[in-house]
Amino acid sequence: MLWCLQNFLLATHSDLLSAYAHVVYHNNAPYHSKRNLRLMCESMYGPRSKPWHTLVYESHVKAGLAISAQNSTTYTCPLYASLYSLALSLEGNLLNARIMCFSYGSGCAASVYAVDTIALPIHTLATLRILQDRRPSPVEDTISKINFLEMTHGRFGFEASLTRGRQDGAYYLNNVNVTGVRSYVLHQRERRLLVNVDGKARGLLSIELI
Amino acid sequence: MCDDEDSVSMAMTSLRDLFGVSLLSFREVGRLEVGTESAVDRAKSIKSFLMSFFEADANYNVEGADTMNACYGGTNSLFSTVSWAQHDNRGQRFGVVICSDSAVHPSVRDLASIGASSIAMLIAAHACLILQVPRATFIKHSWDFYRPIGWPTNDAIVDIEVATC
Repeated sequence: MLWCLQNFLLATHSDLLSAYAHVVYHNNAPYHSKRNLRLMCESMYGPRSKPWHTLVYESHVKAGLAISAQNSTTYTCPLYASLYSLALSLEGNLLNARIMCFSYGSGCAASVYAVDTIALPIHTLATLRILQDRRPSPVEDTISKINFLEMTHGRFGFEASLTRGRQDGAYYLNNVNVTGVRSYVLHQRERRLLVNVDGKARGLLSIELI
Repeated sequence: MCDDEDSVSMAMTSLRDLFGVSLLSFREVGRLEVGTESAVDRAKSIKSFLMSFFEADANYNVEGADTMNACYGGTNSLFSTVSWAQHDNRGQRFGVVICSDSAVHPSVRDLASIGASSIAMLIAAHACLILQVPRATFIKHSWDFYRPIGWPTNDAIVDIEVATC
């Protein structure tokens, strides 16, 4: 990370905190982003006080962690979830911002790059609300589900069995046959036509999909 | 996430949502790449599953495949698709990059580090976010983490010191 940072700032002739309104990181948890920023700042500006680091964290990083705080690590996704978090958290305030991005994959590969926001990204999904509305699951159930998921991953000849709590508009695995052919299905809530007869009596007919 | 969800189903959902938001047609896409380390097949790419969306528009002329390099696959897909949009495509068709992964650590100690998500990004000439040209990349052989889904006997080994050096 620090190697990428130093070479990136050298190539762009820029300063970390003054040139970039936000810094987003690949992370496994929000704490990693906080730590990464502290390491970057210490390498750039030398030792600073804890309140100084807290202020910089709140101004440059915190808004990008809205999804990460709800979802832990997801391997290839956290950096781009952080960019998405900025759009969700800041809305119009994200316009004309320069954002530094740190990407990392074990093995290992890393990049630092920058993006400029010249318009606001379009998004209609209430991602944060959906995440916040999740119901907690007991630890034993969670471990059982994870073990089951792990057992079935990449295996042949099984029907998906844990099908509760499906979301409307999402795809799900139906089965994997004995030769490895996988079939998926779009989950759509069963919809009924409801004809409003009272409306018809008034010369109006409304049809509601429920 | 249950046994009826995987990196393919999540990628399908995010791709469908992207086209729902953008109101684009699948015939307008010229490149699709997927970054993942949770592939469900040792040979067949997740991208090839997603091509089923393009069949109604008879669009089979879609470049790209999957990139697997731990958590870096999405970024590699992004860089190559942006490069395609800038140089090969000349702004005529859209590119799509999808990151899709499930992170599984089934011990009580590691429950805080599980998660699953998929993100779909549209790459185009007149984008909201502009990727700047100067960037710095560091790639090196190391063993700082191995725990992909489907390898249940491997314990999680995470060394964030390597990531931050």
